[in-house]
Amino acid sequence: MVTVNKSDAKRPDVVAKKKLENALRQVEVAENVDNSDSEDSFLGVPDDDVDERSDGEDDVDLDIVDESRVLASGDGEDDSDDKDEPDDDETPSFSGVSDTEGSTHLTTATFSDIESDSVPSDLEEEEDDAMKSLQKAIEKASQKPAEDVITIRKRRKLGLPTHFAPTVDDSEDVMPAKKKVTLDDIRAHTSSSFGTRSLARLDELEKRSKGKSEVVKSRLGRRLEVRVDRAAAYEIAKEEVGKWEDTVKRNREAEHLEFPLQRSDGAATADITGALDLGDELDGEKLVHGLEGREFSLAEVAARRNELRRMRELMFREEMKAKRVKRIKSKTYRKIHKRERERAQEIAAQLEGESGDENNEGSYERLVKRARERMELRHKNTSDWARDVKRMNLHKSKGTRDELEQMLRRGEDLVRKIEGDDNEISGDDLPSINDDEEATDEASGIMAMKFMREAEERLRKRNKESIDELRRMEDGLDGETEQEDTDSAVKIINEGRRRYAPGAQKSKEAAEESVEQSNQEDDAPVPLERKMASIAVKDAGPASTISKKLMSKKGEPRNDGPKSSKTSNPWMLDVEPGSVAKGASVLSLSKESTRFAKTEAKLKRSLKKAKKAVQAVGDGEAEVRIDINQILQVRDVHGDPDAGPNFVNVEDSHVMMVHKGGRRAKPAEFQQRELVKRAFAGDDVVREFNEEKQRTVEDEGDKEVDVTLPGWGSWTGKGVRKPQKKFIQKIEGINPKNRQDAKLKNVIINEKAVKKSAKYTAGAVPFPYETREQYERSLRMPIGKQWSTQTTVQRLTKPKVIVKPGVVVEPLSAPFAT
Amino acid sequence: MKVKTLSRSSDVYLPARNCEVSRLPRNLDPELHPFERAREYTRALNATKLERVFAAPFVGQLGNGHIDGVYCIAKHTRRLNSAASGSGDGVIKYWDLSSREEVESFTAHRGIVKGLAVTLDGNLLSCGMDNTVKLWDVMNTDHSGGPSKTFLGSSGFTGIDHHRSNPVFVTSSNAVQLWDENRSKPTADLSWGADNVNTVKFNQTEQSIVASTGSDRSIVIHDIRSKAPVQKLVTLMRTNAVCWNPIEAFNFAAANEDHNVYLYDMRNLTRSLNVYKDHVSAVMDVDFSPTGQELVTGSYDKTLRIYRVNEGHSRDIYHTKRMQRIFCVRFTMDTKYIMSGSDEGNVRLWRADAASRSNVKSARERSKLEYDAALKERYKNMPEIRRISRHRHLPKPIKTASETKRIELASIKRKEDNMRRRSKKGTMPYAKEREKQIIGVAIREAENKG
Repeated sequence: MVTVNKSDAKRPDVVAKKKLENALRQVEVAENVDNSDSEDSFLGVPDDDVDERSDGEDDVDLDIVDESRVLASGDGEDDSDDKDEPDDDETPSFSGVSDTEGSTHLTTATFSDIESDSVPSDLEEEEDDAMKSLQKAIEKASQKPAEDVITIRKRRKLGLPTHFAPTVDDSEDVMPAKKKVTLDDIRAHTSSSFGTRSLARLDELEKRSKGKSEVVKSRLGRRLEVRVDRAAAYEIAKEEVGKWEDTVKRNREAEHLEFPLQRSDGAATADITGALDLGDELDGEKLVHGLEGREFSLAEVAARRNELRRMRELMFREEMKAKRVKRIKSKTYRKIHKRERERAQEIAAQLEGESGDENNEGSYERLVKRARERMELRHKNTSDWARDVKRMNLHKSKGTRDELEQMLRRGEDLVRKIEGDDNEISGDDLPSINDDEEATDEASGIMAMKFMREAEERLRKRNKESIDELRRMEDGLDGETEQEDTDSAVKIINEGRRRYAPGAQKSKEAAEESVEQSNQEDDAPVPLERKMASIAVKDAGPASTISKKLMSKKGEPRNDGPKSSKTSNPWMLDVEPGSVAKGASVLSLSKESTRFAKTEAKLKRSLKKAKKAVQAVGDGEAEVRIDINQILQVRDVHGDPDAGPNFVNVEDSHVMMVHKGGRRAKPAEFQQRELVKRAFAGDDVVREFNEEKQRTVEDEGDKEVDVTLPGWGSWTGKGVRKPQKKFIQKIEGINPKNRQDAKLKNVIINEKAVKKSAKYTAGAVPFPYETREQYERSLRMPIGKQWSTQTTVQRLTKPKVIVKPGVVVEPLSAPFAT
Repeated sequence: MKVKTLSRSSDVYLPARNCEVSRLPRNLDPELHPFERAREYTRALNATKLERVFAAPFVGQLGNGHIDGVYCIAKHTRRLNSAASGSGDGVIKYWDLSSREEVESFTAHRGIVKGLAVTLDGNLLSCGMDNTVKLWDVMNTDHSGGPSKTFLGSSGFTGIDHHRSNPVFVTSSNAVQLWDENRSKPTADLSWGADNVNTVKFNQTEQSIVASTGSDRSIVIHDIRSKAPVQKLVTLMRTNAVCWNPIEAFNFAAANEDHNVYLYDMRNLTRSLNVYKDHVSAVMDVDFSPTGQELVTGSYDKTLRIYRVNEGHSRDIYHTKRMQRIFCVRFTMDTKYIMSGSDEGNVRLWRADAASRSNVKSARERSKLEYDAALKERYKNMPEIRRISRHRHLPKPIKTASETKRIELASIKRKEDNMRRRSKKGTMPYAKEREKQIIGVAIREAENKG
C-alpha cells in the first residue's frame, strides 16, 4: 500500500480537474491515498491499539466499495453524505475500524477489509452498521446509477477489473448488496455527467480533510474509552472466574480429593449437575412442565421422585417382612405375638376412647390392676429362675436357698407395703417439729420414696437448727425464756400449720392470748418513730445489715433505754415494746441470774438482740453469725487475753459453749495445726532440699575419677622405677557458679541436656500447628493396625490426593455444587 | 453337668471367598502393644530411608531424541501415551510414551519450532519462526504432502495454545491473535502492547480466558469473549511461561527470569499468592499437575524441580549429568510422569514421585505404602526424618551457585537493613516478598470501582 503524507491528499483532486476522462481512476487513487492516509495517522500514534493489516486482497475489496461510493457521490447529494458521516462516527468502535476516519468510504473499506479476513460473528453489530451505510450508499446509487454503466464500460475498455462480483472467499454478507444493485437497475438511469460527479467528489474530499482534525481530537477520548472498556471487561472476567470460588474452596478444604473429580465425559456431567444445582443461580429456575400444565422446578421433581422411591422401598420391605412372618410356625412366637397384638389393640382402643371418660377410667383401673399383679408376682416362686431352681433341685444348696428365701421375703414385704399404702389415707404429710422421728418411722408409700425422704430430712434439719437457735438464745438470753414463748406464739399466729405440733392446743390458747395482747398493742398508740423504724427495716435488704449492726453497736451503751433496745427486729418490734413482752424479759432475767453474773448477762442480751436483728433481716436462716466484735468483747469480758490460742482451758471452752454461733472454728483450727505439727515432727523438708541441691551441684560439677588399675606398675625387681601412685582423670562438669539455679533459692534446675530426647523433639512448633499442645496432640494417637481397628486405620492412612491410575485427569469443566 | 469347651467357628478366620486374604484375629489390648509412639517413629524413619533408597526419578529418554534442542512439548489431552516435541531444527517428533519410541518425525518448519498444541480431534498444531502455523494430521503418518493446513502470519510465531472445547486457538508473535481452525486469517487481535509476546496459554477451566507473557516484562490476561485484553501486570523481570491451575480457575503460575515462580490470582494481580524459590537460574517453563496440587518447573540451571502448590520450596529436584538447560516441562495427564525437553535434544521422562512404582500392587502392599506415607507425614518434623527426607545430592555447580546466591541475598538483606537502620524511621519499609517483583498493574482496583 502506498503511504502518502496528509499534505499530498489534495493532489489527486488537481489531477481530477485536469482530466475528467481519467477522473474515475484518479478518484480511485485518491481513495487509496485516503485510506493509506488514515492508516498513516493510525500508525502515527504509538498506541497499544490493534494494528490493522492490509494485504493485497484488500485493494480488491476496496475497489468495490469505491465504486459504490463513487456512484453514490455522483448525484451530488452532499447533504446525504453529511448525514452519513456522523452515523459512522457513532458506530461502536471495532479495533481497526474506529481508528479510521469517520467517512463512509473508509468505514466500508475497512469493513470489507475485515470481511476478507473473515470476521466471526461477534463483530456482527459493527458489520451491520457498516452494512447499512454501504447499503444506503448503494441504494442511492441504484436510484440514479446512470453513470455506472458508463464507468463499467469504460473500465472494461481500460482493461481494469470491474470488481463487481465479489470473490468466493468474501462472505455472503456482501451478497445482499449485490442482490439489490443489478446491472439492469443501473442501466435504467443514465443521466448525470462526469463533471458534476467529480466536483461533488472534490467537495467531499475537502470535507473529509476537515473531518480529519476532528478524528484526531477524538482519539484521545478513544484511548480513555478503551481503558474504560478494558476495566469493564476485566470486571466481567473476574466475575465469571469468581463463580469457581466455592468449588475451589471446597476442594481446598476437602479431606480427600479423588481424581478425576468429574466423570471423564466431564462436560455432560457438569451440565447435568449444573442444571440441577445451579439452575436457580444461572438463569432462573429451569422448569419442567407437569401433565396438568403445572410447572415444577427440577429440584422439586427430584425431591418428589426421591420421596416416591422411599415409599416404594418401605412398602417393599414391609411386604417382605410380612411374608417372612407368615412362614413362621413356632407356637411360642404366635403366642407372644398374640399378646402383643392384644396390647396394641388395647392401646388403640385407649387412644380412640380417650375422649370418653368411662373407657379411660376402665383402662386406668386395668393398668393399676396389672401393675399390682406384677408387683405381687415378681417375688413369688413363679419366676423362671425360681422354677429352674426347683426343677433342677438346686435349692438344696444353701446359697440358692437363701436367695430364694430372700426373694420371697422381699415379696412379702412388698405386698405388705402395698397393702399398707392402701390402708393409709394420706393425712397431713408435713411433719411438725417434734414428731419428725415418728414420721420417719411411719414412712411408707410416697413418703418412702427417696426424694420425699430427702425433703423430709432437709426440713427436719432446718427445724433442728431453728430449735438449736432457740435453745442457744435461751441459754444466752438470761431471762428470755418467756420471750421465746411469745416468739413461738407469734409464729403460731403466722403459720397455721404449727397447730399440729404436740401441745398445739396449749400453744393455741397462748396464741389466742397473744393475739389479744397484740390487738391491744395495736390499739395502743405506737410512737411514730418506732413505726418508721420498722418500715425501714422491712424495706432494707440484707445489704443494710452492716449498718444495722453499727446501729445496734452504737445503741449498746444506752441499751437500757427502750428506744435503743428495740432496734430493728420487726418481731421484736411487735412483741417487745408492749408491757407484756418487757415484763417477760425482766422475768427471765431474774430467772437466769442464778447462772451468770448479771452484768455479763446484760451485755450479752444486748449483743443477742443485735444478732437477732441481723438474723431477722437476713434470710432468717443461720447465715452469718461470726462477729469479730463480739468475740473481742467476750474476751474482754473474761479477761484472759494472754491465754494462747493453742491452749484450750476450761474457761475458754465455757465461753465457746456460750457463743456457739461463731467462734467454734478458731480453736479447732489451731488444734489442727498443732496436730499436723506433731504428725510431721521429724521432717525437716528445707534441710533435706538443700542437701539434695548440694548433692546435685556436686554430681554435675567437675569430677575426679581414679582410673588406676590395681596392680599396674607394681613390679618388683632390679632397676624398677617407682610406680606412679595414681592415675586421676578429671571430668569436667558444670561450674556451680554458672548453674542456672545458682541464685535461685528453692529450685533445682537440671543442667544436663538430654541427648536422647533431642532426637525425638521437633525444633519448633511446625507450621499448621499453633501451640505445642496441638502438635503433641496430633502425634498422640498411633495410626498402626496394632492400636486401632481396621476401619480407623484405613481412615487415618487414606491419602489426601487419590488419583485413579491410568486415567486422564481432566481439568474441571464446570463449577460443581455437590 | 455341662462341660464347656473352646470352640471357634471357622467363619471367623477363614475367608469367605477364595480371593480374600484370610483374616488374622488381632488383640488390641494396649498391654500387648507397648511403646506405640517409639515404634511408629522408627517405622516412619525406616519408611523415609526406604523412600530415599528407592528414589529413582529418571525413567528414560524418548527414542533417540532430537538432533537440535527441544524447545516445546505438547501432551495429548485425551490420551495418556502420546506426546509431541518440537526442536530447533524445525523437526517435530511424535512419541509413544508407553514404549518410549518415536511414532513419527517430520520437518515442520524452517527454523525453530516454537510452539505445539493439540487440537480437539487429536491433531497437532505447530508454529515456528517462519511465520506459519501448521496443522498436522498425526493419525495419518504420511506427511510427504505437508501439513493438512497452513495458517500464514505476518511475523514469526513464538507460542500457540488451543482452546479446550472449541476449534479456536491463540498464537503469540508480535501480537496475540485468535484464530479459527476453519479460517485462514486470525479472527481477532487480542494484544495489548506492541511488544513481542513470548507465550500464550488458555485457561483450561474458565475456557475463554487467555494469559500471555510479553518481552516487555508483562503478563496480560485476555478474554476471547470480549476479544480484548483485560488486565496487564508488569513485573521486574521477564516472565518466560505461564500455566493455569487446572482445578482452580483463577490461579496461574508464572515462571520468571528472576529464578522464581509466582502464583497469581487473576482477579488481584497486585500481589502473588505464593513464591516458589530454590532455582538458581531463570525458570524457563512451568506446568501444573493435572490434580492442581503440584507444579513442575524447568530451569536454565539444568535442573527440574517439583513444588507443592502451598509450599514455597521444592519438594524434589531432578537432574542428570548430561541434561542441559531445560526449556520445557510437562506433567502427563495421569499425574504420574513428567516430560522435560532440554537444550541437548533429549526428551526425558521422569517419575513425578521418585520412589513410586507403577506396577499393580496387592491390597496389602498398597495399605503398607499408605501407612508409611501417613507415618512420614506425621513425623516429618522430627529432625532426623526431616534431614533424611530432604537430603538430595546436587551437582556441584548448582550447589555452589545456590550457596553463592544465598550469600548474595544475605548480603543484600544486610545492606538494606543497615540502610534502614541509618535512615529515618518509616522511610524504608520492608518490601513484601510476594509483592517485590510487581511493578504495577494496568487496571487497579480503585480505578475499577470509580
